[in-house]
Amino acid sequence: MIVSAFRGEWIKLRRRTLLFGVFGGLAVAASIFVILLFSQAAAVGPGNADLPSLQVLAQPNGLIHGIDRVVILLGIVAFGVAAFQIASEYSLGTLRQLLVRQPRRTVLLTGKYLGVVSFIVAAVVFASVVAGGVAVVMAHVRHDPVGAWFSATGVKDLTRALGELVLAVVGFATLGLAVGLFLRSAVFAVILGLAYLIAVESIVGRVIPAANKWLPGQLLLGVGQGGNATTTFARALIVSAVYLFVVGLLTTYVFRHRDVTA
Amino acid sequence: MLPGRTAPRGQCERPRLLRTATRYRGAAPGSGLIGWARVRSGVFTVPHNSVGAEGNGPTTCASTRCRNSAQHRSGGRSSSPRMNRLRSNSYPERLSQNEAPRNFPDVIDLDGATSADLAVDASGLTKLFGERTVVDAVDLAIPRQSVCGFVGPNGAGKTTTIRMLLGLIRPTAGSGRVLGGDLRSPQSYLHKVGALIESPAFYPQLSGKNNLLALARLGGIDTAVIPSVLNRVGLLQRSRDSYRSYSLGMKQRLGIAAALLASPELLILDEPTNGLDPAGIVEMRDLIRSLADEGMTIFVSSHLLAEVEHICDRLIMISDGRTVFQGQVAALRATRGDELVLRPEATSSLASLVALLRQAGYAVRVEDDGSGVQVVAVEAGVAEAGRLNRLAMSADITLIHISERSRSLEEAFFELTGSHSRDVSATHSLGGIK
Repeated sequence: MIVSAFRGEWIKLRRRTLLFGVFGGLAVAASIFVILLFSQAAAVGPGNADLPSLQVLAQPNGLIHGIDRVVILLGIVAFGVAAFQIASEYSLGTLRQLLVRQPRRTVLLTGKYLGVVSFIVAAVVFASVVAGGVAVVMAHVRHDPVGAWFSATGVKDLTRALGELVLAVVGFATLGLAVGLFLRSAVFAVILGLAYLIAVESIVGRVIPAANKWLPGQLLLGVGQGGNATTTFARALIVSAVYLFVVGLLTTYVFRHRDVTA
Repeated sequence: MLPGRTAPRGQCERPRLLRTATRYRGAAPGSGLIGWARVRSGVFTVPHNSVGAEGNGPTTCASTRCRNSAQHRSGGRSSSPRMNRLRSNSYPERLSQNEAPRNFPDVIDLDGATSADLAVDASGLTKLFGERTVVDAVDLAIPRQSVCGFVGPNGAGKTTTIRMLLGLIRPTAGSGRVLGGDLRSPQSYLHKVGALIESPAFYPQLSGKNNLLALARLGGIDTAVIPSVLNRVGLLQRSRDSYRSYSLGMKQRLGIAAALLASPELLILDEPTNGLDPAGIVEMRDLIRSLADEGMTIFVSSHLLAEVEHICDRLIMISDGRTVFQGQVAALRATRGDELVLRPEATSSLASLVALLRQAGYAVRVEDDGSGVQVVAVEAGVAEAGRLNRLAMSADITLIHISERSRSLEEAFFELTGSHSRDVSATHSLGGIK
C-alpha cells in the first residue's frame, strides 16, 4: 500500500514544471557554481576557505570542495519542495480526495514522504552528475589535471561526500514536510522555513556561536559537509537523527489525528 | 453501466421504508415538533407491471429501478397483502404536535430489517469544533440502492456530516456503519465509496487523466478504468488538457469521474450542482439518475431543494446541525395536505371570505399570487373545492378562480425548521431564488 501511495505521489512529482524546474534548476545552479569555482580559482597555492586553488581542486578529493559548498543550496530546495508538496494538498483541497482513496493516513504519509524524498535525491544525483561533467570540462579549460578524481581514493571520497549530501538533503526534506504539514499553507510554509534556515539560524549562530551545535539547519549542514568547524560528522548525524525522529513522530501523530476540513 | 450492478429485467427493485423500533428524540428548537422517529428499511422487489393497490393501473418500468415511474410516484404499492397490511399501520416519520397520524404511503412497518439493508446507518453523530456544536446527534439511515437527498441551509452541518462519513473528521460522539464497516475504521468501507466533497479539488498543472491516474494509483485501482469513467462523464476528449483549463462544469464532472473510479457501491456527492449553469445542472441530474438506475446508492447533499426533489426518492433534512426530517420525499409532502387557492371576484369580499372559511374550520391565509392580486390559500384538498365554492356562494361571494397547489419541499422544510421567519437568506438560497 505504501508502494501505491509512492507511485501516486510520483504522478504529481513528475509533472513537467516541477520536474524541469527542480532537476534543471539544480543542475544549472550547480553547473554555474562549478564554472565560477574553476574560473575564479588561482592556479597555485592553497587558496582560501571560500575559493580553493586549481592545485587543490586537482587532488583526489577536489570535487568534494564543490559539493560542500552547495549543501545549503540543495537543502533549501529540498525543504521548499517537500513543504510545498504537502502543504499544497491542504491549500488545493486535494488531501480529502487522497484520504478517501487511502484512508490509512500513516500509509499515505509514508508513501508521500518516500516519493518526495526519492524525487529530491534523484534531482540531487542528477545535478551532481551534470555538475561533475561541467567540472571535467572546466578543468580541461583551465588545464587542471583530473586524473586523481577517478582514482580509487577519489571515487571513494566522492561517493562518501555524495552519501553525506543525500543524508543532509533527506533531513532538510523531512523538516520541510513537517513544516508544510503543520502550517498547511504552501506559500507560508516555504517562506517561513526558508526565513528560519537562512536568517534566524544565521543570526542566532552569530549572536550565540555555541547554539550552532544544536540548531537543526546547522547540524544538517554539518552532516552534508561530513563534519565541519562547528561539529563532527558523527555528532551532527546522531543529533539530527534524534531531531528528525521526534519531528517524524509528531508529524505522523498530527496527520493521523487532525480533522481534514480543507 | 457498472458491471454486476444491474437489476434483473422484468423486475423493479426499489427500496421501501420499513419501520422497526421507533424511538423519539428531542425535536429541534423552534420546530414545534415533538420528535422524530428512526426508520429502518429493507428492499423488496415488485413484479414488473404490477397493479397498484389504489388502482393506479399497470406501472411501467422506465429503468431497472423504476425511477419516476407511476408505480414509484404512487409509493410503490405492493400487491403483497402483508405489505399493504403493514402500510395501513404506518405513521409519519415526524409528527406535528397534536396532529393525528396520517397515512404515509411509503412508510411501512417490517420486522427484521437489519443494518445490512442500509448503506449508511449512523446514530448520534455529533461534532464539536471547540465550544461550537456543528453537528448535533444526527442519525442517518440510508437504504441501499436509494437516492437520498441531504438538504439544509448553508452552515447546517451537511458537509461536516459527510466528512465524518468519509473519515476526514472524527465524530466527537456517535457511532455508525457505512456499507457494513465501522465508521471509526473508514479503511473498512471507503474502497467501496466514491465521493465528491464540496468543490472538486485536483492538481491544476496535471491533465484530467493524470489527476485520475494519481488517485487510481494511490487507491490501488486498475488504471484501465480511467478512460471509461472519463467517457461516462463526457470528458474523454479533453482528458489530456490540464485541469486548470477546464470550465467549472468540467471540473465538477472530473470530480464525479474521480468518485466513480472505484466502481463504488455508495456515491456521496456534496453540492454537485454548485456553480453549474442550468444546462450543467440538467446534465448532472441526468448523470446521477443514470448512476442510480444501475443500483448505486447515492447520497447527495444540496441546499437547492428543487434539485433534490427532482432526483431523490428519500430525504434527510438538517438544520442547525440537527436532523429535522428523514424519510420519503412523498412522506414529507404529505405531512401537510395540499392547498386550494381561491380568488373572489371582488377584492372587497376578501375579508368576508377569510372569516367565513375560518368559521368553517379551515386554516386560511391571504397572500399575493405573484402578480399583485390578493388570494386566499386554504389548507384543503381538491375534494373540498366544491364545498368551498358552495360556502362562498352562500355568502354571496363569487369565486372567479379555484386552483389546487401542491405543497413544495421548501414549504415543508421551513415548516419543519421554523426558519422561514428568522432566516430569509436561507429561504432564498434553499429555493434557488437568489
